[in-house]
Amino acid sequence: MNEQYLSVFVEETREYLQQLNEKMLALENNPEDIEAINEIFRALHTLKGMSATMGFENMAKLSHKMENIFDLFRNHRASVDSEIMDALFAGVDTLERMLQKILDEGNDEIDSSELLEIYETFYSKVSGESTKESEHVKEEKTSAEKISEEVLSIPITIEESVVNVLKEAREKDFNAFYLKIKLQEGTMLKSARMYVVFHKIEELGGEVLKSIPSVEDIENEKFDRTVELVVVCKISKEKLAEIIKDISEIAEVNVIEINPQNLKIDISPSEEIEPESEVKKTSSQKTPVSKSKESSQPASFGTKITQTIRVDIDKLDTLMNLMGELVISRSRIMETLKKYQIKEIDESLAHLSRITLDLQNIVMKIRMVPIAFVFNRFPRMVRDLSKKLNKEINLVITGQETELDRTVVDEIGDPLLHLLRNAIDHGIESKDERLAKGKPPIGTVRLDAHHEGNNVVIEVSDDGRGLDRDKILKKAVERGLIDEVSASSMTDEKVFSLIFEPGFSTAENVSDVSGRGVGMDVVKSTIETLNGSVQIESIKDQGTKVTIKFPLTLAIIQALLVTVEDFVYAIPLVNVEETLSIKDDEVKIVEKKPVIYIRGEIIPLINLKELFGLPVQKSDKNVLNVVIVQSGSRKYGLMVDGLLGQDDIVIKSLGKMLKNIKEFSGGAILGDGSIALILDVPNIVASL
Amino acid sequence: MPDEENIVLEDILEVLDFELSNRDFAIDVDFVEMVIERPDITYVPKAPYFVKGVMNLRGRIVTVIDLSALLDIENNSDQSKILVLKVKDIEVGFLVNNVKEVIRITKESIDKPLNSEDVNKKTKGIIKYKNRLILYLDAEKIIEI
Repeated sequence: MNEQYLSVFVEETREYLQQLNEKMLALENNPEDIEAINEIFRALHTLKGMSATMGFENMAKLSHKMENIFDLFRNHRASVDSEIMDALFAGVDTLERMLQKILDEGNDEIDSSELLEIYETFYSKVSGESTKESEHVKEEKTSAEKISEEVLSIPITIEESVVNVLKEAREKDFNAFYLKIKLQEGTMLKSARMYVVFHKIEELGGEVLKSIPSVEDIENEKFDRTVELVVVCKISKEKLAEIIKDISEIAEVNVIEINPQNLKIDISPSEEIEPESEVKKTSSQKTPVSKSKESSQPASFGTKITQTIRVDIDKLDTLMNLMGELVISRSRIMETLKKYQIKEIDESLAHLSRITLDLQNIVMKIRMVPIAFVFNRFPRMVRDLSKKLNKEINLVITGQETELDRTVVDEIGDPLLHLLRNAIDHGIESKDERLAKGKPPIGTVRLDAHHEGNNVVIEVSDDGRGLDRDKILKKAVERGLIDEVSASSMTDEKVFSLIFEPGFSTAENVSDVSGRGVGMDVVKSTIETLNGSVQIESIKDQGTKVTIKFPLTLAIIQALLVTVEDFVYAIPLVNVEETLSIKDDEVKIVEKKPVIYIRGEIIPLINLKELFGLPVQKSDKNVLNVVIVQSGSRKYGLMVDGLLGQDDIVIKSLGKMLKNIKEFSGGAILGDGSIALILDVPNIVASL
Repeated sequence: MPDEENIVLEDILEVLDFELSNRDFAIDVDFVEMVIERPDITYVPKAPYFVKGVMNLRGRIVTVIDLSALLDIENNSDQSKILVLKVKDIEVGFLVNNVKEVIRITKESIDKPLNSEDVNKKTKGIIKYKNRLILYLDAEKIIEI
């Protein structure tokens, strides 16, 4: 298998599966949504084609079966209900598993009994012909059988605009036909072949009114082996079939006459199609006229078409690195030139600064992706979960267009998933409980993202029962996280933040959905490794809100530069609370550890020299520089020798050989070319 | 005979000969990216004993290894050069006293490593070259430490 095509296939399949999930949810909410049905149909159709081309027969077959169901929906021969949707969602899940299998092992073989089960559900749901169909599934092995089934079972939707043309043509003694053309397997120049078909039809004085896929897609070879056409011409059905068939490399042609007068698609005598498949009305009649214009060319999929290219993330990382080097070089040049105070160069320097700044911004923007990439997964998860827990949930997603760094987007999915699960499992009450409290029976979970200054803020909130202060305290005391004396004096905020402590879970009964005592602490540590912070607010019986904040980008951060001995260290500004100069007699010893009192708070001190294993001499200075850092709810004071001020730094990896050092998250190259190690505050604090 | 020629070509190795604390060492020339003058090295607290620190190599942060600490030999003279290697995509600098030349050796001229367990793990053997004994370091193993 060609690796290059495989990666494209995997990428695209992922996108289609995501689209399927989205559109199927839309369809479930509004079973009359013809647009959604059409898009799902097209996605499945493409998926079928792509997987067949790649030789993944199981995947092709399953997509084909699902496609057939949507075809029935489209022709109003079956109605959308939640049972059939469950089966279809199971189908999408199976497709996802097949894709994973393809990635892992290079084949799409999964347990066939599982597949049969899905197929049976499909058919028992829509036609009650379960036994016949499941036999059919088993038999249907040879490709020949498959082709004939495929060819006959897919009529297409004809838009009103096309229907009008058909009617006009009919008045001028033209015949209208639906053609299904299948190219031979292994046809090399598919688009050229199809061009010959189009050309032949035109030669005969005919015209192609509609094609699936679109002409554009055909030109770009974006199709499998099958093309469906709606054609008007003056010759008979048999003649047309014969002429098309004569073109080389055409495997199969199927011609169906269309009678536009009563919009009845007259299917030539066929062995497999049941009588009820005569379509009385094409579904498109129901679509509003205003839409028919756009859809007359069944455009390539996706509603938003933007000009994009795929770029390897490694290349972007390299670009970012080069950008970082440019920023560093610029500051070095500026620093050097400052000494000479040359007037002529000022303007060019200012210009250079502007350009690098613009360049820096654009490079950062390239790395940004909309958070929709993550958010899109959730409606499906919430649907499944709410069914499982028998709770009705209304998930409201806002701000999915908010952009943030690619790295964050990749990592944030799981923590958010966990928070949403918690909200639904623990937060939202059961329907009866909600009604008893006088709340609307349907629970609302909100997921919002927005920008706030240089930060991205993500909020997960619910209108459930809220956190139970007493329960949390009881548990925390049980687990030895706090003592009973301090428990009563703690603020709500402090109490709630306890749930982020390792080994804490408030769920009385551990369900398989959430709450195994791992989780919230993992959520928190993941967010902190991304330089983010997390906060929790809750009001009893009104709900809970978790707020996550991230810096816009991870590659360039603001940091406070400090010195310890002769070296410069950088402390990310997100961790810094304040800096202080204190007299050494303000340092008190509590339980053998140095602390300071600031505004009634006891803050433990960490001597960086000690932490770094450097010799600590009794300093003769009686003024100490302390940087107050915050990690989670706890504050610490870092003792440093000097404060140099704040600066934008470019984070660079220290390399594989030093990756085990927990105290540093990386290094930064300063304006003078020297290196400042970046303190990993959450890690330092955690290891105390 | 063509066969003989092949054998001879395969048996020839190119190694870079360098000096560290008055001793001779060699390393496969394929791994060597460049030789630079020792720049400022930033001390990295909590790093393993054989890591001298990190240096800024054209905007990249590269680990500098103190070979004399790693090989447990005394370090008496000025180590003013850095041998920059790239092994399995990892860039690393070795602090050395002096870099001499690239020499061509045959496989036969390599003797089994010394009997010392510790050094054994980091070397490919001892090269006998023009009446000198050169310790032939195994860069791949050193990187894995």
